[in-house]
Amino acid sequence: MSDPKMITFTQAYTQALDEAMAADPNVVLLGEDIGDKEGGGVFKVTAGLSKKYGAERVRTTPISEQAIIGAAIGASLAGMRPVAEIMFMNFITVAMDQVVNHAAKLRFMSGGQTPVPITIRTRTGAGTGNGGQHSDMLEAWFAHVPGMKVVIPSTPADAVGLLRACIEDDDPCLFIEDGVTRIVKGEAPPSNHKIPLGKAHVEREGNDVTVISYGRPMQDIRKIAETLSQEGISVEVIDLRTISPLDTDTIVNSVKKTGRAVVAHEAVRSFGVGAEVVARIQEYAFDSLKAPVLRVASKDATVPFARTLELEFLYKGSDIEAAIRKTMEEK
Amino acid sequence: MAEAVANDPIVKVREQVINSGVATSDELDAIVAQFEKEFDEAVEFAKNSPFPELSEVTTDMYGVA
Repeated sequence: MSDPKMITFTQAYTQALDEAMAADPNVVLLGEDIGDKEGGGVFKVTAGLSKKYGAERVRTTPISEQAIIGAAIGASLAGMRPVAEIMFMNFITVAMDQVVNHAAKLRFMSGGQTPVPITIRTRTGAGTGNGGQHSDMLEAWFAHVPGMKVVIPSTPADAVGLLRACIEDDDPCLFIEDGVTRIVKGEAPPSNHKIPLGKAHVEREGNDVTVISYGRPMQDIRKIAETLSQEGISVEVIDLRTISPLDTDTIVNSVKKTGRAVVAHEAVRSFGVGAEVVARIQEYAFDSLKAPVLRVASKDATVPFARTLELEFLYKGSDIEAAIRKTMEEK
Repeated sequence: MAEAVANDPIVKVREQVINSGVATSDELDAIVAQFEKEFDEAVEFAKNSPFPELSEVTTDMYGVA
Protein backbone atom coordinates (compact mmCIF):
# COMPACT_ATOMS: atom_id res chain seq x y z
CA MET A 1 0.00 0.00 0.00
CA SER A 2 1.28 3.46 -0.83
CA ASP A 3 1.65 6.06 1.91
CA PRO A 4 -1.52 8.07 2.56
CA LYS A 5 -1.61 11.60 1.19
CA MET A 6 -0.79 14.14 3.91
CA ILE A 7 -2.12 17.70 4.14
CA THR A 8 -1.64 20.59 6.55
CA PHE A 9 -4.44 22.18 8.55
CA THR A 10 -4.25 25.19 6.22
CA GLN A 11 -4.66 22.95 3.18
CA ALA A 12 -7.58 21.27 4.93
CA TYR A 13 -9.43 24.56 5.41
CA THR A 14 -8.82 25.44 1.76
CA GLN A 15 -10.04 22.01 0.63
CA ALA A 16 -13.27 22.37 2.62
CA LEU A 17 -13.96 25.85 1.24
CA ASP A 18 -13.14 24.75 -2.31
CA GLU A 19 -15.43 21.71 -2.09
CA ALA A 20 -18.23 23.72 -0.49
CA MET A 21 -18.05 26.40 -3.19
CA ALA A 22 -18.03 23.76 -5.94
CA ALA A 23 -21.03 22.00 -4.39
CA ASP A 24 -23.25 25.03 -3.74
CA PRO A 25 -23.29 28.32 -5.70
CA ASN A 26 -24.79 30.04 -2.64
CA VAL A 27 -21.55 29.60 -0.68
CA VAL A 28 -19.69 32.92 -0.69
CA LEU A 29 -16.60 34.02 1.23
CA LEU A 30 -15.92 37.41 2.74
CA GLY A 31 -13.11 38.79 4.86
CA GLU A 32 -10.08 41.02 4.95
CA ASP A 33 -7.60 40.48 2.10
CA ILE A 34 -9.03 37.07 1.19
CA GLY A 35 -9.07 37.63 -2.59
CA ASP A 36 -6.10 36.59 -4.69
CA LYS A 37 -5.41 40.19 -5.73
CA GLU A 38 -4.88 40.93 -2.04
CA GLY A 39 -2.74 37.84 -1.45
CA GLY A 40 -5.35 35.12 -0.86
CA GLY A 41 -5.68 35.79 2.85
CA VAL A 42 -3.07 36.63 5.45
CA PHE A 43 -2.76 32.91 6.23
CA LYS A 44 -3.35 31.83 2.59
CA VAL A 45 -6.43 29.78 3.43
CA THR A 46 -8.41 31.32 0.55
CA ALA A 47 -5.50 31.35 -1.92
CA GLY A 48 -6.66 30.47 -5.43
CA LEU A 49 -10.36 30.58 -4.63
CA SER A 50 -11.16 34.00 -6.11
CA LYS A 51 -9.32 32.99 -9.30
CA LYS A 52 -11.39 29.82 -9.44
CA TYR A 53 -14.80 31.15 -8.38
CA GLY A 54 -14.56 34.88 -9.10
CA ALA A 55 -14.25 37.99 -6.97
CA GLU A 56 -18.05 38.15 -6.63
CA ARG A 57 -18.00 35.00 -4.52
CA VAL A 58 -14.70 35.64 -2.73
CA ARG A 59 -15.03 39.20 -1.52
CA THR A 60 -12.28 41.19 0.08
CA THR A 61 -13.82 43.55 2.62
CA PRO A 62 -12.76 46.71 4.43
CA ILE A 63 -11.17 46.29 7.85
CA SER A 64 -14.46 46.22 9.73
CA GLU A 65 -15.40 43.01 11.52
CA GLN A 66 -18.84 44.43 12.32
CA ALA A 67 -19.49 44.98 8.63
CA ILE A 68 -18.13 41.53 7.70
CA ILE A 69 -20.42 39.69 10.11
CA GLY A 70 -23.36 42.03 9.49
CA ALA A 71 -23.10 41.52 5.73
CA ALA A 72 -22.78 37.76 6.20
CA ILE A 73 -25.94 37.68 8.31
CA GLY A 74 -27.86 39.78 5.81
CA ALA A 75 -26.74 37.60 2.90
CA SER A 76 -27.72 34.47 4.80
CA LEU A 77 -31.24 35.84 5.36
CA ALA A 78 -31.45 36.33 1.59
CA GLY A 79 -30.61 32.65 0.97
CA MET A 80 -26.83 32.52 0.75
CA ARG A 81 -24.37 30.49 2.84
CA PRO A 82 -21.67 33.01 3.67
CA VAL A 83 -18.35 32.01 5.21
CA ALA A 84 -16.82 35.02 6.94
CA GLU A 85 -13.15 35.13 7.88
CA ILE A 86 -12.15 36.99 11.03
CA MET A 87 -8.37 37.15 10.79
CA PHE A 88 -7.74 36.80 14.55
CA MET A 89 -10.29 35.63 17.08
CA ASN A 90 -9.69 38.62 19.34
CA PHE A 91 -10.99 40.87 16.55
CA ILE A 92 -14.41 39.24 16.72
CA THR A 93 -14.95 41.22 19.91
CA VAL A 94 -15.67 44.20 17.65
CA ALA A 95 -18.55 42.26 16.07
CA MET A 96 -20.08 40.79 19.23
CA ASP A 97 -23.35 42.68 18.71
CA GLN A 98 -23.76 41.11 15.28
CA VAL A 99 -22.89 37.62 16.53
CA VAL A 100 -24.70 37.58 19.86
CA ASN A 101 -27.70 39.85 19.27
CA HIS A 102 -28.40 38.98 15.65
CA ALA A 103 -26.84 35.77 14.30
CA ALA A 104 -27.59 33.69 17.39
CA LYS A 105 -31.07 35.10 18.06
CA LEU A 106 -32.88 35.71 14.77
CA ARG A 107 -34.13 32.14 14.39
CA PHE A 108 -35.73 32.09 17.85
CA MET A 109 -37.06 35.65 17.70
CA SER A 110 -38.79 35.01 14.38
CA GLY A 111 -40.42 31.78 15.55
CA GLY A 112 -38.07 29.72 13.42
CA GLN A 113 -38.76 31.67 10.22
CA THR A 114 -35.32 33.18 9.68
CA PRO A 115 -32.40 30.81 10.25
CA VAL A 116 -28.91 32.34 9.93
CA PRO A 117 -26.72 29.80 8.10
CA ILE A 118 -23.41 31.61 8.41
CA THR A 119 -20.01 30.18 9.23
CA ILE A 120 -17.41 32.36 10.91
CA ARG A 121 -13.87 31.07 10.47
CA THR A 122 -11.30 32.51 12.79
CA ARG A 123 -7.75 31.80 13.89
CA THR A 124 -6.17 32.04 17.30
CA GLY A 125 -3.94 30.30 19.85
CA ALA A 126 -0.92 31.19 21.95
CA GLY A 127 2.62 30.07 21.21
CA THR A 128 3.85 32.12 18.28
CA GLY A 129 4.50 35.44 20.00
CA ASN A 130 1.46 37.25 18.67
CA GLY A 131 0.73 38.83 22.04
CA GLY A 132 -2.40 39.18 24.14
CA GLN A 133 -4.63 40.82 21.54
CA HIS A 134 -4.09 38.07 18.92
CA SER A 135 -3.98 34.82 20.92
CA ASP A 136 -7.04 34.28 23.12
CA MET A 137 -9.11 31.10 23.00
CA LEU A 138 -12.59 32.60 23.42
CA GLU A 139 -14.68 29.51 22.60
CA ALA A 140 -16.43 29.54 25.99
CA TRP A 141 -17.82 33.04 25.33
CA PHE A 142 -19.68 31.82 22.26
CA ALA A 143 -20.65 28.46 23.75
CA HIS A 144 -22.41 30.55 26.42
CA VAL A 145 -24.73 31.98 23.76
CA PRO A 146 -27.62 29.61 22.94
CA GLY A 147 -28.17 29.57 19.19
CA MET A 148 -24.46 29.50 18.34
CA LYS A 149 -22.56 26.36 17.41
CA VAL A 150 -18.84 26.26 18.24
CA VAL A 151 -16.49 23.85 16.50
CA ILE A 152 -12.73 23.20 16.86
CA PRO A 153 -10.92 20.51 14.82
CA SER A 154 -7.89 18.56 16.03
CA THR A 155 -6.69 16.93 12.78
CA PRO A 156 -6.56 18.17 9.18
CA ALA A 157 -9.07 15.47 8.15
CA ASP A 158 -11.48 16.57 10.89
CA ALA A 159 -10.92 20.17 9.83
CA VAL A 160 -12.21 19.36 6.35
CA GLY A 161 -15.19 17.36 7.59
CA LEU A 162 -16.23 19.77 10.33
CA LEU A 163 -15.85 22.91 8.22
CA ARG A 164 -18.00 21.35 5.48
CA ALA A 165 -20.61 20.47 8.11
CA CYS A 166 -20.58 24.04 9.49
CA ILE A 167 -21.13 25.51 6.03
CA GLU A 168 -24.04 23.14 5.33
CA ASP A 169 -25.57 23.69 8.77
CA ASP A 170 -28.55 26.05 9.05
CA ASP A 171 -27.33 27.62 12.30
CA PRO A 172 -24.57 30.17 12.86
CA CYS A 173 -21.32 28.27 13.39
CA LEU A 174 -18.05 29.53 14.78
CA PHE A 175 -15.17 27.47 13.40
CA ILE A 176 -11.91 28.00 15.30
CA GLU A 177 -8.55 27.34 13.64
CA ASP A 178 -5.36 26.93 15.68
CA GLY A 179 -2.68 29.29 14.41
CA VAL A 180 0.28 27.48 15.93
CA THR A 181 -0.28 24.10 14.28
CA ARG A 182 -1.52 25.37 10.91
CA ILE A 183 1.39 23.74 9.05
CA VAL A 184 1.17 20.47 10.99
CA LYS A 185 0.26 17.62 8.66
CA GLY A 186 -2.20 14.79 8.96
CA GLU A 187 -3.76 12.21 6.70
CA ALA A 188 -5.93 13.72 3.97
CA PRO A 189 -9.60 12.78 4.04
CA PRO A 190 -11.46 11.51 0.98
CA SER A 191 -13.22 14.16 -1.08
CA ASN A 192 -16.54 15.47 0.25
CA HIS A 193 -15.70 14.36 3.78
CA LYS A 194 -18.29 15.59 6.32
CA ILE A 195 -18.47 15.02 10.08
CA PRO A 196 -21.73 15.51 12.00
CA LEU A 197 -21.81 18.48 14.38
CA GLY A 198 -22.73 17.98 18.03
CA LYS A 199 -21.02 14.58 18.26
CA ALA A 200 -17.84 13.95 20.23
CA HIS A 201 -15.35 11.39 18.95
CA VAL A 202 -14.04 8.55 21.12
CA GLU A 203 -10.67 8.53 19.47
CA ARG A 204 -9.02 5.92 21.64
CA GLU A 205 -10.76 3.41 23.85
CA GLY A 206 -9.53 2.74 27.36
CA ASN A 207 -10.70 1.57 30.77
CA ASP A 208 -8.88 3.54 33.48
CA VAL A 209 -9.38 7.25 32.85
CA THR A 210 -11.22 9.42 30.32
CA VAL A 211 -9.36 12.43 28.91
CA ILE A 212 -11.66 15.00 27.29
CA SER A 213 -10.23 17.72 25.11
CA TYR A 214 -10.38 19.46 21.72
CA GLY A 215 -8.11 21.36 19.37
CA ARG A 216 -4.38 21.60 19.90
CA PRO A 217 -4.02 19.72 23.25
CA MET A 218 -5.31 16.61 21.43
CA GLN A 219 -1.88 16.40 19.82
CA ASP A 220 -0.25 16.16 23.27
CA ILE A 221 -2.87 13.75 24.55
CA ARG A 222 -2.38 11.24 21.72
CA LYS A 223 1.29 10.90 22.68
CA ILE A 224 0.59 10.80 26.42
CA ALA A 225 -2.06 8.08 26.02
CA GLU A 226 0.41 6.01 24.03
CA THR A 227 3.18 6.48 26.61
CA LEU A 228 0.94 5.61 29.54
CA SER A 229 -0.36 2.50 27.79
CA GLN A 230 3.22 1.15 27.96
CA GLU A 231 2.90 1.40 31.76
CA GLY A 232 -0.47 -0.32 31.76
CA ILE A 233 -2.58 2.83 32.21
CA SER A 234 -5.46 2.55 29.80
CA VAL A 235 -6.62 6.04 28.68
CA GLU A 236 -9.86 6.68 26.83
CA VAL A 237 -9.50 9.81 24.68
CA ILE A 238 -12.50 11.92 23.69
CA ASP A 239 -12.17 14.73 21.16
CA LEU A 240 -15.20 16.98 21.59
CA ARG A 241 -14.97 18.33 18.00
CA THR A 242 -18.12 20.42 18.68
CA ILE A 243 -17.94 22.51 21.87
CA SER A 244 -21.56 23.62 21.66
CA PRO A 245 -23.97 21.92 21.59
CA LEU A 246 -21.94 19.67 23.87
CA ASP A 247 -22.26 15.89 23.43
CA THR A 248 -23.05 15.03 27.04
CA ASP A 249 -23.91 11.38 26.33
CA THR A 250 -20.52 10.43 24.92
CA ILE A 251 -18.72 12.05 27.88
CA VAL A 252 -20.99 10.59 30.53
CA ASN A 253 -21.03 7.07 29.06
CA SER A 254 -17.24 7.05 29.00
CA VAL A 255 -16.80 8.32 32.56
CA LYS A 256 -19.36 5.79 33.82
CA LYS A 257 -17.05 3.15 32.37
CA THR A 258 -13.68 4.53 33.53
CA GLY A 259 -14.68 6.31 36.77
CA ARG A 260 -11.97 8.94 36.29
CA ALA A 261 -11.75 12.02 34.09
CA VAL A 262 -9.38 14.82 33.11
CA VAL A 263 -10.49 17.77 30.97
CA ALA A 264 -7.82 19.72 29.09
CA HIS A 265 -7.96 22.90 27.05
CA GLU A 266 -5.68 25.69 25.94
CA ALA A 267 -8.10 28.42 27.03
CA VAL A 268 -7.61 30.02 30.43
CA ARG A 269 -8.68 27.88 33.34
CA SER A 270 -11.60 29.70 34.95
CA PHE A 271 -15.22 29.78 33.74
CA GLY A 272 -14.35 27.73 30.67
CA VAL A 273 -15.40 24.67 28.72
CA GLY A 274 -13.56 22.54 31.31
CA ALA A 275 -15.86 23.80 34.05
CA GLU A 276 -18.94 22.91 31.99
CA VAL A 277 -17.68 19.41 31.22
CA VAL A 278 -16.82 18.81 34.89
CA ALA A 279 -20.27 20.03 35.93
CA ARG A 280 -22.02 17.63 33.56
CA ILE A 281 -19.89 14.72 34.75
CA GLN A 282 -20.83 15.36 38.37
CA GLU A 283 -24.50 15.85 37.42
CA TYR A 284 -24.80 12.61 35.43
CA ALA A 285 -21.94 10.30 36.47
CA PHE A 286 -21.25 11.21 40.11
CA ASP A 287 -21.92 7.72 41.43
CA SER A 288 -19.33 6.25 39.07
CA LEU A 289 -16.50 8.59 40.06
CA LYS A 290 -13.46 7.08 41.78
CA ALA A 291 -11.51 10.35 41.88
CA PRO A 292 -12.16 14.11 41.61
CA VAL A 293 -12.38 15.26 37.98
CA LEU A 294 -9.35 17.40 37.14
CA ARG A 295 -8.91 20.34 34.80
CA VAL A 296 -5.78 21.25 32.85
CA ALA A 297 -5.72 24.66 31.22
CA SER A 298 -3.60 27.72 30.63
CA LYS A 299 -3.12 30.22 33.43
CA ASP A 300 -5.71 32.90 34.23
CA ALA A 301 -3.64 35.62 32.64
CA THR A 302 -3.30 37.72 29.51
CA VAL A 303 -1.28 35.84 26.91
CA PRO A 304 2.19 37.40 27.27
CA PHE A 305 4.35 38.47 24.35
CA ALA A 306 7.70 37.44 25.88
CA ARG A 307 8.56 33.92 24.72
CA THR A 308 9.47 32.70 28.20
CA LEU A 309 6.27 34.03 29.73
CA GLU A 310 4.12 32.78 26.87
CA LEU A 311 5.38 29.24 27.51
CA GLU A 312 4.81 29.73 31.24
CA PHE A 313 1.23 30.86 30.53
CA LEU A 314 0.37 27.89 28.30
CA TYR A 315 -0.92 24.54 29.54
CA LYS A 316 1.76 21.85 29.19
CA GLY A 317 1.55 18.27 28.04
CA SER A 318 3.30 17.32 31.28
CA ASP A 319 0.39 18.92 33.22
CA ILE A 320 -2.02 16.62 31.42
CA GLU A 321 0.11 13.57 32.14
CA ALA A 322 0.45 14.55 35.81
CA ALA A 323 -3.32 15.02 36.12
CA ILE A 324 -3.97 11.58 34.65
CA ARG A 325 -1.50 10.02 37.10
CA LYS A 326 -3.10 11.88 40.01
CA THR A 327 -6.58 10.54 39.20
CA MET A 328 -5.01 7.06 39.06
CA GLU A 329 -3.82 7.38 42.68
CA GLU A 330 -7.46 6.97 43.76
CA LYS A 331 -8.47 3.30 43.59
CA MET B 1 -35.66 72.25 21.79
CA ALA B 2 -37.26 73.91 18.75
CA GLU B 3 -33.86 73.76 17.07
CA ALA B 4 -33.55 70.05 17.84
CA VAL B 5 -37.03 69.39 16.44
CA ALA B 6 -36.14 71.35 13.30
CA ASN B 7 -33.10 69.09 12.91
CA ASP B 8 -35.04 65.84 13.40
CA PRO B 9 -33.24 63.49 11.00
CA ILE B 10 -36.44 61.58 10.19
CA VAL B 11 -38.16 64.77 9.05
CA LYS B 12 -35.05 65.94 7.22
CA VAL B 13 -34.48 62.72 5.33
CA ARG B 14 -38.11 62.82 4.19
CA GLU B 15 -37.56 66.32 2.81
CA GLN B 16 -34.35 65.22 1.12
CA VAL B 17 -36.02 62.20 -0.48
CA ILE B 18 -38.83 64.39 -1.85
CA ASN B 19 -36.54 67.26 -2.93
CA SER B 20 -34.16 64.90 -4.73
CA GLY B 21 -37.06 63.38 -6.68
CA VAL B 22 -36.64 59.82 -5.32
CA ALA B 23 -40.27 59.68 -4.18
CA THR B 24 -43.24 62.02 -3.90
CA SER B 25 -44.93 63.00 -0.67
CA ASP B 26 -47.93 60.84 -1.62
CA GLU B 27 -45.73 57.81 -2.28
CA LEU B 28 -44.05 58.17 1.11
CA ASP B 29 -47.44 58.57 2.81
CA ALA B 30 -48.57 55.36 1.11
CA ILE B 31 -45.50 53.48 2.39
CA VAL B 32 -46.13 54.72 5.93
CA ALA B 33 -49.82 53.79 5.71
CA GLN B 34 -48.92 50.32 4.47
CA PHE B 35 -46.58 49.70 7.42
CA GLU B 36 -49.04 51.16 9.92
CA LYS B 37 -51.61 48.69 8.61
CA GLU B 38 -49.10 45.82 8.94
CA PHE B 39 -48.27 46.86 12.52
CA ASP B 40 -51.93 47.19 13.46
CA GLU B 41 -52.65 43.75 12.06
CA ALA B 42 -49.66 42.30 13.94
CA VAL B 43 -50.87 43.85 17.21
CA GLU B 44 -54.38 42.45 16.65
CA PHE B 45 -52.93 39.03 15.82
CA ALA B 46 -50.83 39.07 19.00
CA LYS B 47 -53.75 40.20 21.19
CA ASN B 48 -55.96 37.45 19.80
CA SER B 49 -53.32 34.70 20.10
CA PRO B 50 -52.77 32.52 23.15
CA PHE B 51 -49.44 32.77 24.96
CA PRO B 52 -46.89 30.25 23.63
CA GLU B 53 -46.75 26.77 25.14
CA LEU B 54 -44.16 26.71 27.93
CA SER B 55 -42.38 23.90 26.09
CA GLU B 56 -41.60 26.41 23.33
CA VAL B 57 -39.03 28.16 25.52
CA THR B 58 -36.25 26.25 23.77
CA THR B 59 -37.97 25.68 20.41
CA ASP B 60 -36.20 27.30 17.46
CA MET B 61 -32.91 27.81 19.30
CA TYR B 62 -31.35 25.54 16.70
CA GLY B 63 -32.44 23.99 13.43
CA VAL B 64 -31.03 20.54 14.07
CA ALA B 65 -29.30 20.58 17.45
